[in-house]
Amino acid sequence: MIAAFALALALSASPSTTARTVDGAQIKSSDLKGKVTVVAFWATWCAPCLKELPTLSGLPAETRVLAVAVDDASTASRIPSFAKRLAVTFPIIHDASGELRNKLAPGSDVPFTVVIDKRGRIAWTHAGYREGDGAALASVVRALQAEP
Amino acid sequence: VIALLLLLVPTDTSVKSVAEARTESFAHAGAQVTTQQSAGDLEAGARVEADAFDDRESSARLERMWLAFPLGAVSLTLGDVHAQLGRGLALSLKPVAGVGVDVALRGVQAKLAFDDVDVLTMVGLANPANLDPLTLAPLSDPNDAIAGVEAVLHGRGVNVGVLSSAVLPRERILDDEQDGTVTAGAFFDASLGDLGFALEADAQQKRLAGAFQPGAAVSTSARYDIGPVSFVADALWLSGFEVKGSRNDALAIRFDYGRAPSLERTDVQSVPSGDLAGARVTALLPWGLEASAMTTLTEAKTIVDADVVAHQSFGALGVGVRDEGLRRMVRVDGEGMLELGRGFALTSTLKTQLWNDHVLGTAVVGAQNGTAAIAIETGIDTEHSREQYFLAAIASLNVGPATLRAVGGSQRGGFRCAGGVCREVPAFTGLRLEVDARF
Repeated sequence: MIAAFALALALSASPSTTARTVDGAQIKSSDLKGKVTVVAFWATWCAPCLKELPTLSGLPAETRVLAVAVDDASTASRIPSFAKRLAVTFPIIHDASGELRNKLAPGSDVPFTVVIDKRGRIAWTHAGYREGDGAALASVVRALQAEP
Repeated sequence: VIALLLLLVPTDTSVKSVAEARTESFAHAGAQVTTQQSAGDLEAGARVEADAFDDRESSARLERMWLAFPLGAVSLTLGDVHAQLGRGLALSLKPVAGVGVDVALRGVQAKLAFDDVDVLTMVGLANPANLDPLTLAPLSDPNDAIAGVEAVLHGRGVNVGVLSSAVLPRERILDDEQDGTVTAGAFFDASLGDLGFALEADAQQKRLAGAFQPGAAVSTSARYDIGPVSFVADALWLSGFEVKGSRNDALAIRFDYGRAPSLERTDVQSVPSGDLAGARVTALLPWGLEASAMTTLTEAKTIVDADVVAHQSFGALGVGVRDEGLRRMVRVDGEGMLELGRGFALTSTLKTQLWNDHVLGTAVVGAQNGTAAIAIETGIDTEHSREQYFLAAIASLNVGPATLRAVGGSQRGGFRCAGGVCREVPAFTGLRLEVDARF
């Protein structure tokens, strides 16, 4: 009964869940469908993350990139400075509550990369970052973009 | 109902399993399966854990379950949620993997998101994972009642919010007196180009053993970018401020549902909640240099800490000094990676703390390619007049969606901090095999 009730609610025209970028823009979960999305979990204190972030700008066109900073309040004030230094142009979300990390990368350390396909499903995940990982990520994205 | 939904079409499942034999103590095998399923805006998930021991009763538990769906303008979650209000002082139920903190709120969470205003409310009971992941000690549910509410007004780069939390511990100091903590506060943060500022101020009233006790806290950060240089200043003031619950029977301390932003940058025993005032200034300089200085004043001691770190593309190296009055410390930390081409690389990590009366240190040297890694870890711990040396071999292998990891030998324990939480981690001696996979 509860499931049927919840399902009926889900099928009704309702707003989806939202997150805010560090500049205040609103991103709805429904916005993530229709395009391949790369979600990169990072932190200002994580050296491999700072290597990985600039490489995400080189992903194939039509790729949506979201950088999720997992810094707690003791280092969160550094996020805009690091984004500026790394010339990051894609949206940055500060996951202060750990909710996104717990949902998409439970128990994982950073850097952690999640690729979401056009239908909004998790298609690929990768822990850590080393030189050459960017090429592997790009080929995963291209394969998912080729899907109908 | 959630389990039924998950069984129908499981689309995202992760499995973490471990088998270990600890010399001089016990053997343990455990598995954690997390699965999530979504259909439209409806999402359901569950986490099941099972552990078997050779010296105590085995157990299997449904640790987490949740069902999330929209209801008009409200996003509702029933079951287990992780959440934080403001900067986390008044309420922070956020998992911190490195130190084994995993307390969820089992109840109802509602989020209302309008164009300029977000409202978050939650109510439920504290629900920790029932096996402490670091000591493997059993941990019973405290069932402390927790409620929280937060409203945030968003402008262009500016957020202004108010919050409130209430905690009613199930365990009472006196049987006929209900203990509790109510906290209310406001926060503000702005990021306007080269300038950034954040502030949270909270006041609280605690009722402990029938007596009322006030508390207050202020946490603030400021950032100023001048060309390639950034300055960041953080300050924290706590006066009788704490958000405690019932006793954590695995760690023999009370659950802490608030988490003040830490000024500490190293694995050093942070000042426990109580009265303190501290500040930290950090300069982010060109060429990957970072210089930081911190001081904290408490009733017991004054701490001064300073360090310089150089971040380069091949690694990082940091040097720091610390003075706590009765004891002093010099530390050297570093990590490096030397790419050898064709996906092969040499890696190294170094952590040392040279105190005036003891030494703590860990060094890891290894090699890896795209799918496999091997490393040797050495450690030293001479604290409390003991002299212990540690040596372990570590190997990992990626096979399809799975990562296999093996550790054999001994690894140093000691104080470990992550995400502003510090705790004592036991040393490990034995053999451990881990498999993580995601489907």
